[in-house]
Amino acid sequence: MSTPEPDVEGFLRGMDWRAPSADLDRRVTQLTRTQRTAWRGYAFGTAVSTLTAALVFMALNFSARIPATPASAPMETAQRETSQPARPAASDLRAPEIVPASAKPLRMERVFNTGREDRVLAENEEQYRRIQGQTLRQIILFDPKNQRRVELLIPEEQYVLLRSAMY
Amino acid sequence: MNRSELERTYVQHRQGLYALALSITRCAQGADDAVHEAFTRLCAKATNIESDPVAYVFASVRNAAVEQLRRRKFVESPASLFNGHAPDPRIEAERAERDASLRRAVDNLPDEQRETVVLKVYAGLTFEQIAAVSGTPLQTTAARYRRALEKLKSAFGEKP
Repeated sequence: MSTPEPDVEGFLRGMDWRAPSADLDRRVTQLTRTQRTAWRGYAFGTAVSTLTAALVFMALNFSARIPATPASAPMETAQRETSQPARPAASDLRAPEIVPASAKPLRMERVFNTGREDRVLAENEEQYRRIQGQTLRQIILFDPKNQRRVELLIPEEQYVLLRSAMY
Repeated sequence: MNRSELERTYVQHRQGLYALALSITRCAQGADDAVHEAFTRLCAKATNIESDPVAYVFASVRNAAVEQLRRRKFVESPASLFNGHAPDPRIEAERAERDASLRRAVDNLPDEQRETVVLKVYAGLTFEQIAAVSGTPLQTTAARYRRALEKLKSAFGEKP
């Protein structure tokens, strides 16, 4: 009579195998969850950036179209002589065409100003001090016809020549 | 395979994954690191696994464990796959003896046979999955398991 084959697989399954430590469980779980959180963070950041960009874009468009509050008093502007005709900025090339003459400026600001000085020799051999000034003016107008606010950026350049004494 | 699925796979197979890593590294710390490293890599890349995802995760842990072993170069005192509790006096002496001899036999199996036994018996993988994990043909896998069982049976009941 032969002895029955031992159920080695059954015995093996019932043995006390070493189990992963709680530390390993924590490490792996933390890993998967942290990365998932990071992915969510990136998605949230992207969404916020997109929303911010959209809001800025809308605000810029809105500020160009809404009328100014009537409380803001119109300012009188004086025509300044320049050596070159005033040129609108590239972004406002169409602005003069669409702003009627009745439009009153709401605000006029000098946003950029610089000066440079050098010496030039004229054809008559006279020496001159040449003072160059560059200014960028920002003018905000209210167009009553179209009930909207228009912003103009006008660069100006002035030259002053002063004859220097010859020694 | 997204991170939720990875986490689920870990929870379901954590014991088998750890036993596989331990059977290769023969070091508790090394096994921990191998499993962690494998999951770090799996989480880092969003992979489309066309084959069996469980086998893929086991294969990743196996590769990480092999790398761990290479890094350490040698193992001073190989850790057992089983807990080394002192024999419980309430458990009959015959069973305690049997378990001890079986533990020794499993620990002393050649690496590839021990790995196959762990994956088949403890992790509960099929031969197809084990073949995919170890990168060996199905026939070879089955033959390894058969030879390992023969050795375990012959060692069964041996006196220490």
